[in-house]
Amino acid sequence: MKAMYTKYKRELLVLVATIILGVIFTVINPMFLTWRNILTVFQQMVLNGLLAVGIMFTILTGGIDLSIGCTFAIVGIAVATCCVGGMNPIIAILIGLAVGIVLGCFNGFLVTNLKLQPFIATLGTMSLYRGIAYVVTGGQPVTNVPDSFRNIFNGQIGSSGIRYYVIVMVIVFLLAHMILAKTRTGDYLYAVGGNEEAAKLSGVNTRKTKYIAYIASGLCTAVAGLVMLASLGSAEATAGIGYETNAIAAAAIGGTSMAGGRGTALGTFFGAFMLAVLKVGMVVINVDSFWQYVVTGLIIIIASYFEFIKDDIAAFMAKHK
Amino acid sequence: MKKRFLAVLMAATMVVGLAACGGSKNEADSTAAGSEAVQETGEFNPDQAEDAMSIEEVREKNGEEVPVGDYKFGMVMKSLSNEFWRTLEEGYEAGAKEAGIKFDVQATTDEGDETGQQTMTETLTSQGVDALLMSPISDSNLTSAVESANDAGVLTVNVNDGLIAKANHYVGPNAFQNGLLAAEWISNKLGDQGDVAIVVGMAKAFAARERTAGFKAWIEDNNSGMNIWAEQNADWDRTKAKDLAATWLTQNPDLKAIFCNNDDMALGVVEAVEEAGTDTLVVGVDGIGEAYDSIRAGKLDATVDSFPYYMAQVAIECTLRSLAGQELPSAVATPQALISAENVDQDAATIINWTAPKYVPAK
Amino acid sequence: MILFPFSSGGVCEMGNAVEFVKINKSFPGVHVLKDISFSVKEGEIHALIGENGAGKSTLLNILHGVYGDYEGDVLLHGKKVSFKNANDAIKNGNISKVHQEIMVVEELTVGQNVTMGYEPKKGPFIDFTKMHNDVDEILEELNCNFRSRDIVRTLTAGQKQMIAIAKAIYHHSNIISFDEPTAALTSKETEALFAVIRKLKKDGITILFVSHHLDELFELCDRASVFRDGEFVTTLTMAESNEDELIHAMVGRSVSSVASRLAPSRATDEVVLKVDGLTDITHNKFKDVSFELHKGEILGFYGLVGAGRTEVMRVLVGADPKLQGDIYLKNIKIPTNWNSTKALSRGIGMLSEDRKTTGFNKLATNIQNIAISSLEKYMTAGFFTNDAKKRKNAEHFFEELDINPKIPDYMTVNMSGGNQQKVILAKWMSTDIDIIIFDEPTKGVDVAAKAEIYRLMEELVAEGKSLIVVSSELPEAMGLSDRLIVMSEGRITKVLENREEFDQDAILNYAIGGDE
Repeated sequence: MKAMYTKYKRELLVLVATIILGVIFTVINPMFLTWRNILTVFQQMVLNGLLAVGIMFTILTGGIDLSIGCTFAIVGIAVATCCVGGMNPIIAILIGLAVGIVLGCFNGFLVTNLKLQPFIATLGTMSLYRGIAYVVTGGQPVTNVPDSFRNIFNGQIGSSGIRYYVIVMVIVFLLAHMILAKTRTGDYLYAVGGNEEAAKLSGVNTRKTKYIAYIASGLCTAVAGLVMLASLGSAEATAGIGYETNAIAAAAIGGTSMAGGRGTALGTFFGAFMLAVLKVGMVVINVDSFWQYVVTGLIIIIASYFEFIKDDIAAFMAKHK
Repeated sequence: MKKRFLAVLMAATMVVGLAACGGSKNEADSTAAGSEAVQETGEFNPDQAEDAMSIEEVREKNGEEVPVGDYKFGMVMKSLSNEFWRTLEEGYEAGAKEAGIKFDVQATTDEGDETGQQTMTETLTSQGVDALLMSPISDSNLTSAVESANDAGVLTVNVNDGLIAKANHYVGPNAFQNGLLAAEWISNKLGDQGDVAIVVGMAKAFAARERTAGFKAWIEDNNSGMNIWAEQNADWDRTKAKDLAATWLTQNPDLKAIFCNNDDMALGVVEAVEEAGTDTLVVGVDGIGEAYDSIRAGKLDATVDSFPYYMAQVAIECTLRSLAGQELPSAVATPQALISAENVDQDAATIINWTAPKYVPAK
Repeated sequence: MILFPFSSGGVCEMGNAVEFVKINKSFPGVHVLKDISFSVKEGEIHALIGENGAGKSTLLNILHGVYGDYEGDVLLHGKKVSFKNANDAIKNGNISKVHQEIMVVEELTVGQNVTMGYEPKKGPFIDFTKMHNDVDEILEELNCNFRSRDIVRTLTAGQKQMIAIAKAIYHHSNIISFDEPTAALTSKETEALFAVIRKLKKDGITILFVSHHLDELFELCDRASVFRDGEFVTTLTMAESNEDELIHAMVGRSVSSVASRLAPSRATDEVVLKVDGLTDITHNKFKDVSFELHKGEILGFYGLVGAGRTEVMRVLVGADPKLQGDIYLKNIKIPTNWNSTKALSRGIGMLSEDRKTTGFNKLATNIQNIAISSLEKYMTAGFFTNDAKKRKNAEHFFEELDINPKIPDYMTVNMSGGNQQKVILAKWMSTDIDIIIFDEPTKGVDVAAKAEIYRLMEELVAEGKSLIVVSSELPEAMGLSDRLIVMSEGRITKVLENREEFDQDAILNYAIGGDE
């Protein structure tokens, strides 16, 4: 129990902070604490959560993937085109995931084979992928995605209001957690992010490991793209602009170190959850749109500050036990 | 150590509390101010220009005939990835072909490239065009380019938003009227009762502010029984608009109508309404093809179309009239109409009662 | 300008430059300094010695104002002081520190580095003429062969070290501490540094000197204060003491500080590694390197810094690409797409020279750092790694290698240098590799840990493993190796086939490129 606490101290802190936020919102407007509204919070964390867990893999290796918003759009367009063309939805989904893998792979190629700095490389692919999305669609949205596809993600369990895409997100996070905490790949990702040269000298295949990180990012982004498509029923080239910043914020709040080597799937989950609580809560208590930016910014800064005072809090709690 | 922890908690609480207060106060202000808010700024506002005319009035005043000389026009637009601007370009092509003038259309690759657009405008000026028809990305990015064009004797025409106060003429839809049309239609549908909400786009361009202002002004001026229950931003993003509407509908399933600053956001809101299973009306602005499809499919309820295809032709006509020495007002309002299930399949020309201009060779 | 304020020689000799009175200092959970009281005389060179973790660095940090919260008093020239921070100490205490790591801004001039933060001003602008004149004066005083206007990037490590000393003099410091200043220097540079330190002493400046090289201490220092486990042991006068007494005071027992083989050689004739014509065609760091490693032997690689030894080793373990030449492991040629993962699976690995930057993951615990190269050993269900198995393996090596403190969950970065080295060794011993390359294995490691590492090497060859030891310390290279290869400027200049041939002068001659 104590070991779990030490290991997931940061994650617990984010959860506690989120609960405090939730209490504040509920005090201002009791509507916040209804079952339906909580469902809304979970639904609205899905896209950002999926993008955040993806980008976290790249950040763990000391890199970054700025192209996720654009990969997101391309996957949506590809799958929408397939579905509208009458393809079997399952095959369309597989194609979407494959597109995510290919785009992630290309990022991996730039970062490992050409040794470009990840920030610059994915800044490049960010524009490149967006351009591809425009060129392929000619700027036209792809609409009328059939319900046979949409229901796979958008349907709900009975009439509980729990939509399948929420389950999908939870499964993705569980898989990410297993990979990071329980497999060799996870150990290698942390090792590369903690000290790439030391990892290399320890016999870790650093190139393969970085490829895996960028492919994982592409794959998670592809799942997000599928969920978006199912949710909106249409795909357009402009989808996902600026989404990478929110994803980075979620990962950072959850304790992912921007320098690499530190971060967990659980933390990122709570980071995305906190942002969703904030987003929904501010609408529920009707905070002015302009002020929402101010509040979100301050919360991100405060949450990041927790990184530095977490030891203080631990000492504080120990003293008052 | 204890103090620091508490300080952070306090700070967090205060920030949220403060924002909540600030938010409600701010909203009260903007509702009360209504349409005046825009006028108070003292800047050029084509929607409120005193000499503003519709194209019909221009034709009536100056006669049907439009003299055409050997002109070359330069058109500067925003991203062609947006259907609205693509349609405007098609309108330019059709209008220029009909008038028999030469033209050069330039567009930026995305709607954020403010300096790129400025460079395009300056290049066209130096290539020697007779008139510039511009749709700037922001209210300020083309200011210096227009000044140098004016100095070079090029006629400058501002087509649709953003606004260039220094341009010779403004030709475009009355965005304020967009909001009026939407509010009026919703009022009729609802029997002037119930909660309504507004999804705004971040107010970077004039149109976003005016559409919201027009909507609110109608409700206020007509002592409407409708109540503006909420107003929030969704960054012109379809997913964000859907999420926003979903949150609203969780809170208030009795929300009767949602007015969106553009069709893209409206199409996201439609999905949220469908999932919530309410009978909330959704009205957008722009009249993009996907909105028409959605109206035909019985999902989106209405959109306010400002017919970019005809807007472009009106812009060319007005430019030619001005070049021929006819007196033109500072702002010319182009046709617009609310499209709903009732008129969605009608021909656009019929809806706005379009008659093509009569071009004659200049003497 | 007055360079050396205390140069009046002898006036203050009777007083104490520094006096520590009952200094106590704790970090969360550790009492690192216990009742430390001793004094340093004006104008002497005073060594602080002790094993890693004995408290020397902490004491220096207190003296230089880095740590403010301690118990006890620090007196400078008889007056009690307490500095707010390191800058305060430099400015108001006239006391400077020359760090182990060379800390300079590479792209600026020497003058800018020396005067940084205290540049001479003319109005709001830096007075560069005065800056360079002043600094050149100091450099001349120090017999430096570079000038204030030189860009630091173009200097050697030894010259960069001089910048820190020049800085101390620029600030009129009359007490200067040196924290392992020779760690990054060649022996020639070390000599030059010692000459400067002696000159500083002559000018009346008090020197505190931390080093692990006992021979250096006897060469340079007047007295030495010995620390053990955060406690002050004794102060010895060097002229009246000897190495054995010093070591005994440091570790509380006698340890042979000189590397030597206790067990008989285990070398066989079986060739486990053969290198043929290895050449670095891109950076010319080494050329035409050919040699063989036999099963069970310890093969030494001696040379000066920059001789290309590390670069050769990096190719062998797949850290750098193999460009020209052939490598055979157990008679099988390695493929062209050689990398460190393949090297590991073929049984060859390396403990790198720069332990702090490339040795281990600073964000990881000992368990994780030990397990990273042998993860396939800790699997359950063939897919998932098992934390309990990793822990068990780590605990096993903590016992076997006597790694202290015995806390596998500790972050490796918080261990002392010698124990970090043992953690890295445990990582390799957890794998199945049988060729281990030690690159400067005892750099920055204290005497006791050194001896342990030498014993471990002997145990490894006894188990049939084969070792390559890259060392810049001649006694270590000579004492450990079965055979010794000498490199100079990227080439092998001599292979000494048996221990009888080992001769200090001859080896040095080969190392600086002299012919047979």
